[in-house]
Parts: sequence; C-alpha cells; structure tokens
Amino acid sequence: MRGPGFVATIFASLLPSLAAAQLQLSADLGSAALRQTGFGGSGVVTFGADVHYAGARASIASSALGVLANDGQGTGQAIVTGALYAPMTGGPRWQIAGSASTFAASNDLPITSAQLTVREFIGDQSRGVFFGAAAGTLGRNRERWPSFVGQGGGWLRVNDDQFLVALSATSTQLLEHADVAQIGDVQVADPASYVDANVGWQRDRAALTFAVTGGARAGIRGVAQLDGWGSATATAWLVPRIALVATAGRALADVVRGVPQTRYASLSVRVALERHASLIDRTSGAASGPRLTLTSSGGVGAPRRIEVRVAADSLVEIMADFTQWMPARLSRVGNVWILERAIDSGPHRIAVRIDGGEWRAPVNLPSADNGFGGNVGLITVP
Amino acid sequence: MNARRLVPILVAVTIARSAAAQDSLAIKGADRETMMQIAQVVATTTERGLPIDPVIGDAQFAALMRAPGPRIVTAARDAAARLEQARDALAPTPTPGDIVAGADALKYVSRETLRRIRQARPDRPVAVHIGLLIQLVSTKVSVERAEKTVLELIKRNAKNEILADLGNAVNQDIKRGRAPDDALSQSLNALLGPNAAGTAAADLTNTATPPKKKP
Repeated sequence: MRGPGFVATIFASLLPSLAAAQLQLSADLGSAALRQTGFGGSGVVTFGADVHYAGARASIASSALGVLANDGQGTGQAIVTGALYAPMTGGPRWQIAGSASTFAASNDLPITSAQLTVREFIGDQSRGVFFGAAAGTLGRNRERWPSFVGQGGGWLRVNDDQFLVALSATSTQLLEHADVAQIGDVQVADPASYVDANVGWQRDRAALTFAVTGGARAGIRGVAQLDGWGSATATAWLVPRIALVATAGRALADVVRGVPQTRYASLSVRVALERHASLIDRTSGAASGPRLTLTSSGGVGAPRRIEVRVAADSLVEIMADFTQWMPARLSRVGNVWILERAIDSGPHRIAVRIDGGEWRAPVNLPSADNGFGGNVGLITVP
Repeated sequence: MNARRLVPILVAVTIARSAAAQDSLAIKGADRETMMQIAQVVATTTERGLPIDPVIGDAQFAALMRAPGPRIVTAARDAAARLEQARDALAPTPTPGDIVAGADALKYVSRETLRRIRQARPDRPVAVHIGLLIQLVSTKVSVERAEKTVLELIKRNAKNEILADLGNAVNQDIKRGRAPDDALSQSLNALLGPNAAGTAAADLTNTATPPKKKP
C-alpha cells in the first residue's frame, strides 16, 4: 500500500473512536512574576490556550503560552502531541506519541523540537506502571541535534488523591547561543546527559484541584551535578466554565525542547468549554451520607468485602437482595464499617441504615425507587 | 388431601427449611393466606426451572415495607413473570445469574434489548453487563445510549471490574452536575481512552509540561 493510502487507512480505522471522543478546550489569561534565563520580564501578562481531543484509540493535544512584559519583550511556546493507543482490553496498552514544539523569545530565533515516544502502560485508573523510550531532534538556525530519553514510572489513586512518580534519563545536546557584535548569532551545542527523578501529588475534589510536583536532576555530563524543581498549583472552578488558577514554582531547563530554566508565580482566569463541578453548584462535591464500596479478597466465589464509610456512633447495617432483605450488622475497623459475604456477580440492590435511622441508598451508588416510597442503591458486582 | 393442595404446603415447608438453613428466608409480616399464595408462585417458579431467590426476595421486601398481602403476592408474581421473560430473552443458555439480572433489567428495558446483549455475547455470562445497563438507565442515561455502550463494551471484551466501575463513575459525574449522556461519554472515555493517571505520570518525565501550566 502506498504511503498516502496507508495513512488514510489508519485514520479511517480511528474515526469511530474519534467520533466518540471528548473535546476539552480552555484558555487562560493572567499575570505572573517571572524570571527566565535570557528574559528579564518580572511583572508579565500571560495568555495560554489548551485543546485536548481524546478518543478510545487516539488523542490530540495542543497548548500554547505567550508571555508579554511591560517593555514589549515576550516569549512564546507551543506544543502539539498526537498519540495512538492499543485497544483497551484490560491488559497492558502501548502508546505511540509524536510531538512537535517550539519556543521563541523576542529578537531571537526560535528553537524547535520533535519527538517520537513509545510507551507501555500496565495498570488501570487506580494504579499502574509505565516504561518507554523517546527519540527526537532539537534545532535552531538550520542546525539540528538528536535527543534520546528512557523513562519509567507509576501512579496510584487513593480516593481523591493521585500519586505519581517518574524517572527519566536523557542524552542530548545543550544549546547555548549569543548575539556577538560584528559576527552575529553564534550557537554552540555541547553533549549533555542527566537523570530526572520526579514525584507528584494531585487532589481532585469536585470544584477544587490541588497539585504539587517536584523533582531532582542529577547531571552526568554538561549540566549541573544536582538541581531541583518544584511547583504548586491550585484551581478553583468558580462557575462551571470559569476557574481561578494560582501557580508558583521553579522549572529546570527542558533541554530536549529548548525551554530555559524558569521561576514563576502567576494568577490567571481559566475559561473552559467543558463544564466542571463548581463552587456555586449546589450539586457539586461529595454528597453527605454513607458511601459503600465493594472489594474482592480473592478469585471467583471468594467473599466480597463491603465497606461503608460514614460517621456513625454505634451501628451500621445493610440489607440487600443478597441478604434476602434481612438486616446485617457491619463491624467497625477504624473509620470504616466492614462486612464480608459471598455475593454473586451481577446487579444487586442494597440499602444502609445508620444508628437505627432510616434505610437509605449509599450516596455514591446509582439509586432506584424501591416501589414503596424510598430508594435503594444499585451496585454491580464484578 | 389432593395433590394440588399438597404442593403449596410442601413448598412452604421447603421455604421454612431453607429459611432455617439460611436463617433469612422467612417472610415476616405475611399472613397465612399470603404465604400460601407466595408458596404457589414459588412452586410454579421451581417447576419451570427458574431461580426462586428473586421471587422470595421481592415478596420479602414488600412485606418489609408493610405492603398489604395482595401487593406482596403481586410482587412475587411479577418477579416470577420477569424471570420467565428474561430466560426467554437470554436463551439459549442463560446462567441463573443471567436470568436474575435480566429479570431485574426488565423493570427498565425491553426484552429486545436483552436479546441483543445475548446475541453480542452468545455463550458467556452477561449478568455483569446487564448490571451496568441497569445502573446506567437508572441514572437517566437514555436506554438507547446505555444499550449501545454495553454492546460496545462486549465487543471490546471489557473486564467485569471495568463494567462494575463504570456505572458508579457515571453516577458520580451526574451528581457533580453533568448531563447523564455527557457523564457517560466522559466516564467511558476515562475508562477506555488514554489512561489519564498514567498519562499524567508519563508527563512528569517532560520537564516542559504543557506550557499553559508553566510559563
């Protein structure tokens, strides 16, 4: 098959997944205190835009940021990433991603880069690991240099908290340039290699999101022997499509994309196409009341562990179709109430009673009219 | 005493024995006449080779809600009827779990929907898939969209754990203010699409994260 036909076939195969895709679009406008290598702006205006289009097998993301200082100087950067994924089967998923980026400052030539990354993800939304490798190129003023990155890491989600860790090793060229009188632009690239260790934490609680990331870089050749970075970001969705974003931090130079080292503190307003849970939304946030989760302690036929999280003084009971609608008491273990019981796979109806009060549906489960003026929770047991 | 009168008594004795064995099958609050009628429904259900737990369970629940005797019996009869319809819709080889799930689903969807699910997954259990269908429809996702989603997940051979999580995730999103069909798209994408948490972890390896987040 000829090249264009092959490409058309790939895109045709992706159309069904893209048709069911999600589009996210947002724009930021804000003010920042910024200190960046080669850029003297301190009080600056920032404007950014972000587009993310994700389907089951493919995603396309693009973001851009402009920084404008009082003296008219500025910087601009943009990145476009496209990724293909293996079909979701519950097992490992490969990802092939290509990205192109550019960074430019006033009165200077732009730096461009491109990378092809191959990764394998093993896990699900709750936990997992990944490993991969990337090869790319970095260029300025008609010269280009290669870049190579090996990477691995993992993630763990516990309720609203997400923990991330990643390790990467990079080998490329460190570009330095200057405008020399009577000669013009002079640039030099020296070999650079280093290892980055990164950690991150994010709490996503309805209208509020907090994120803290940080890391350390150990230079092997051409960069500082030891350096660190960190950032903290808080996002508050005031209304469903408008958020206030505060962020501050220090970023090390992204050598493979030619983005210099930066310190920053910024406050911006974000406008998004997609609705978010917001502070004024009365339905946002976690509803108060019992939350019920089910875990399995083993294979098929093993008892299921029912956990109810609720503020209760002395007694938590459930009744369900699998208890023949007879109340069953849960045992308290710390802040959680627990019952182990064999439950068949499939749909089940369940209600919870706290301290002898009314029977009610757990707030985290879909609920249904019980036919007698009340509600029961609906749970699907895998 | 003829055989017709003997059957309900035998079934009642069976239930009582079963109740003793499982300490949970006695139908509290049902009078003798109601109990006899329920016993007949249970006997018929047993003769037809259908699971009896949903019949007894629905009667039990109605009694628990202090429903009058006739309504308790109606609950049992309705459950039995749905079990039979579900078995037909999920033929030729439904498991008892499939039949129970299908009977529950018939409170929300048609037999044709169950038939299409069976056709998509002809020789394997579908109880968990039907459980997801019930959860989606009960959260006001349209029946068409819910069925399409379940059929798509069958086609993708999605794991039971993913199916079980999806209904809860959609419900959470709806409670946060999202429209039901939008919430389904969002949750489906989060489960089937790029792993958001994994991608976030991988993004950590880019010291230049998307520039909007870092001037």
